[in-house]
Amino acid sequence: MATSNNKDAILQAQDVTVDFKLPSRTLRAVDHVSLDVYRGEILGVVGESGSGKSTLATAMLNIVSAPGVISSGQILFKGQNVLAFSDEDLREFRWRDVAMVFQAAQNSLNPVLKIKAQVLDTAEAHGNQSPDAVLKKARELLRYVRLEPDQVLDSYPHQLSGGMKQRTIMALSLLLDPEILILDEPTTALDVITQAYVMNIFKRAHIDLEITMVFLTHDVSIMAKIADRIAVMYAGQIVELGTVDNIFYTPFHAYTKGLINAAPSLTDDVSKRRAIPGSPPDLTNLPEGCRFAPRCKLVEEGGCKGEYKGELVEVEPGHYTTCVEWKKMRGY
Amino acid sequence: MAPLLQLDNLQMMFTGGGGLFRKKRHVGAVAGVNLSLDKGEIMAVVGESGCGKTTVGKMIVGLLKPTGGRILYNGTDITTLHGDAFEAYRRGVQMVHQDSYAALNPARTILQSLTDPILRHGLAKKNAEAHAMLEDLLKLVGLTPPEQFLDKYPHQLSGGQRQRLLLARALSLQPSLIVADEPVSMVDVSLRISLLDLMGEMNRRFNIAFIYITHDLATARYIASHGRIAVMYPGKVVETGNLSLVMADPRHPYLQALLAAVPIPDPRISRNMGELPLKSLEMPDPANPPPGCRFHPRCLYAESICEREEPLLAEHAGQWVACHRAAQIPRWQWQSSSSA
Repeated sequence: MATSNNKDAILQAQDVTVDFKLPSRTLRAVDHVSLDVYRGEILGVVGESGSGKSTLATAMLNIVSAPGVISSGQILFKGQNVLAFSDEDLREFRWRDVAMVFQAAQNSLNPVLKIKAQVLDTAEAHGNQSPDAVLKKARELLRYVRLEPDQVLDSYPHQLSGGMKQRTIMALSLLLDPEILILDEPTTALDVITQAYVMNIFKRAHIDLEITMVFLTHDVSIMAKIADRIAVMYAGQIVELGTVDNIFYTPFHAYTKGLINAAPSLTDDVSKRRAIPGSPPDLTNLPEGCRFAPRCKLVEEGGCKGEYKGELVEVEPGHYTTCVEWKKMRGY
Repeated sequence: MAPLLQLDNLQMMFTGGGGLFRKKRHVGAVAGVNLSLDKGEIMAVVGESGCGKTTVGKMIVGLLKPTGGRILYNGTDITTLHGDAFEAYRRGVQMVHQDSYAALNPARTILQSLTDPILRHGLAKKNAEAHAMLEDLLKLVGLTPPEQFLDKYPHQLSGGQRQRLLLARALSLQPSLIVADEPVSMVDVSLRISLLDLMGEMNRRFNIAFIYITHDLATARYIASHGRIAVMYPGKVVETGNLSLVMADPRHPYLQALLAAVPIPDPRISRNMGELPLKSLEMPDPANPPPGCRFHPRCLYAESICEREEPLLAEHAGQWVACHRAAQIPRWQWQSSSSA
């Protein structure tokens, strides 16, 4: 496996494929992806809408929604195959081992229940702690995300602002002391100030509570601040994987470079920003070879024939790319 | 010559709630905004949710009626416009909304949705004529080939494509001003630049003025780099001026905090940014704004005068700032927030 090595991989996706069977065709959202999540890291997964990052995350929890099916590969949590878990094991695994905060998390609160009831429901569904102990824990966590516990517990979701709801969800996700937290676009719907604040809380929770995090987003700027390692997804495949410095300062895939150049910044010369031409391929009708080739500058300028070897290659320690002409990316 | 658009002490007071035993709630969403915009100019209006920026936008296009103050379009108060002059204003000022899916009728094709305004305003006499106009418009906004899009329904397009379509719809009426309310906040970061480029091109080619409403300073800086910026804090403009000047030397502590919050796509810079230079995260309740400067409960530099007196916009070397302590607070530097 291209991405495995001797570090402590706590959660592993191995050769995972997720297919959505549509009436007339099959859409392959995740295409033979292997990715290790190391204990104690913040792993960022970055990609545009439709790149398969959310689907990969749902596969890791074995909650791919119908009509999607995991048609190849396995998910290992501490060496055990999650896809072979019984219902009881899965209930233990989800939230207690690996918790997930979904996209537009504010909407994952039940609008007709007070937060308190939702806290108790969660605890009851996943264990048998006494209500008092659960509420005590919830108060601690709410204080941790800098909310007023009693006020929040006694509120309905609509009485909280977007940022407050987001932090409530964050506190809820930590309720069962998970080892891994998967965050899917956790700040996308928030204002910049709230976003910066929530990011600081994530970072602090990561350090204080020693939680491993998988962070999914389309916004590379956020990654620069929080991630230790970054996996770049394009059209269902991971095209580059490396440390945050690898990805930002010496990217070896033209797509990665394009993503970074397309992000509006406050510090850069605005005239240096460039959009990536074209649009991502139709997942039901993929081009042969490298899927990025039709949009790639290297290909356009004749520096590459758009070959694709089928897997990530380690080009320097810990830095992987699928680009066959990655050497030409130096100083590009 | 009169500016294209002038906001003169513009106010919007929403009244809600109220019942037999409950008092009515008055929410001053916009509390006296003065701005002016010349032909072909780009202005970014920046602020967080709830600061009134969208309300200002809606009043400009005529979707909301101000409860105080005036809006002058080509020098004339829009409430006094009638007949052809009113039509000309309605045609000349167009809006592009944030949620492109909600802004298009899901049961109508693109062709149906976009020919109506053209026919309604008499820019084309016959369907065939409107059809031809549309094809040119779609090409203009980069939706090529147009035949591929005309018979589609909104759900069949991506977010970026729908946003281009909204821009095409606004352009179809040959406006002199487009109010774009968070037009790129719902599309992927990687696509934002291309949409902003498109708006910039429309600005240069057709001399269309833009009011770009956003909470994102990075995109504001990108589109309005030669234009102006107005930073809003619940109901008020707290800093305004040429964007390049203001961004280089932001004076209002709120703007400094906003700048510190923007993620930078460069790990070395973004990891050096410390805590936000703010006392608290929560925005004030617009129904019950704090006395004096509305920002003082969150401000690191607030003094007793800030709690008593409301600061007015005053000039500081070419830019306008509403802060009692503008001259004393530290100048903004990229790494300074860690020491603040």
